[in-house]
Formats: sequence, structure tokens, C-alpha cells
Amino acid sequence: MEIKDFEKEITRIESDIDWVAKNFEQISHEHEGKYIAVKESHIVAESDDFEELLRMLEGRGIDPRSVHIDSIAPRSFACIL
Amino acid sequence: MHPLSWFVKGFYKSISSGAEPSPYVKFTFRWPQYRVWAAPLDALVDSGSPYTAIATRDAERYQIPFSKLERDSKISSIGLGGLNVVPRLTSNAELVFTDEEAKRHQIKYEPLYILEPNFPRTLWKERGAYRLPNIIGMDLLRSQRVRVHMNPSLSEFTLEFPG
Repeated sequence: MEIKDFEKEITRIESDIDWVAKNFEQISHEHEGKYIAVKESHIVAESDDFEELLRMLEGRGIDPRSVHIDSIAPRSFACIL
Repeated sequence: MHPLSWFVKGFYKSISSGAEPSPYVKFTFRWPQYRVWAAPLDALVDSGSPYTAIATRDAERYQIPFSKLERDSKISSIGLGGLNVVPRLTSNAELVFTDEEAKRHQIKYEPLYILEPNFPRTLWKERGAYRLPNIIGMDLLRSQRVRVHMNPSLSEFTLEFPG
């Protein structure tokens, strides 16, 4: 991959990180407890099992490194870091 | 404010559903030695953490082999979110931050840890090891002389790096 392609990829995934942050409340309402994979402001896969999510993506021909993956931890996970 | 400073705009996001939002920043993790060419990630900026670390979830996703990484002889384990993790060392890894003018700044920072849960892999899911975030800790903020500007009530959060 050339540098300009890396730049484009980075910018796209950063936009998806922003999208999750901006919409976290709604996403957590609808996907609480899941791990989600986001591409171009869409949730393309979700699972309550992270390893299963990676397998799902690979099964669909999506490289897990090419999407933003986030944890929508359940309320019961409340913790102080 | 220093005239040569550069600024990284952060954002707020909840660590778990229904929790108060916490401050995060985006960065790109690069570690060519392990074929991590460019990994755009977010990290919790945690003034309560002495350490900066890449979380288990992203390490796993980028296929970083925990067992090949050295342990830090000074720190055998770290308690994080009720879990016990082993801090594995990176070397020659980079964190790249994008400033408000879209300019990228590379920081080679050590020790930058990779967090490996200190319990059997069969329990990682059940105990929530993949839920832990990446963390920018006090070590990085202090060594890079970062000023933290935040106003949670207005959702404002910016890191100021000296020029």
C-alpha cells in the first residue's frame, strides 16, 4: 500500500472513531454489550464475543484491521480504571 | 499558550453504556517490527494511570504476539479495571497524533506497553479483558510536557503539545 493510500485509510477509520463517539448514546441503546465493527459510519458486524466478531469479519472477507472496532460495554461492566 | 504549540482535539465517550463520558484522543499506532504499519485507534486519556498502553483488544486485532514481547523487569503486573494484566514492552513503536491543522506528529515513546491479561485466555471474554481501552497515561503526558485543557460540561477537551 502506498503512503497516500495509508493516509486515506487512516482518515476513514478516524472518521468512524468520531462517528461512534458522536453517536455513542444511541449505539449503546441499540447494541449494549456488543463489540461492533464500523466502516464508513455503518455497523458492519457485531457480536457479544470479540473473537467471534473477528471471525465474522474474516468470513466476510473484511480485514479486521481495516475497520474501527469498539466495545459497547454493558452497564454491568462499570469500572474505575 | 506557546506560539509553537500544536493541539490535538479530543472527544468524550463512555467506557460503558450509561456511564459518564470520559476524555479520549485519536492516534495512529505504528510498529513496523510487528507489521503494524498504521493502526488508527482511540485512547482514554487517564490522569489516574501512570502508564501508557495498547489494549488487549487492539493488540489481538493487529496480531501482535504477546509471548514474543519482553516483560518489564520492574513491573510484573498492573491492576486495571479490576483485572490483572502483564505489561509487555514495545520497542521502536510510534504514536502519531494529528493536530488541529491536520498535520501529523510522530512520537517515539517508551515504555509503551501492550497489555496481556494475567489469567488463562479461556477467561479473557468472560472477565471483559477485551473491554479495556487503550490508555494515554501520566508518563506520556509528563515526558512530552503536554498541557491538558478540558471542560467536561462543554465537552471540550484538547491536548497541547509544546512546539
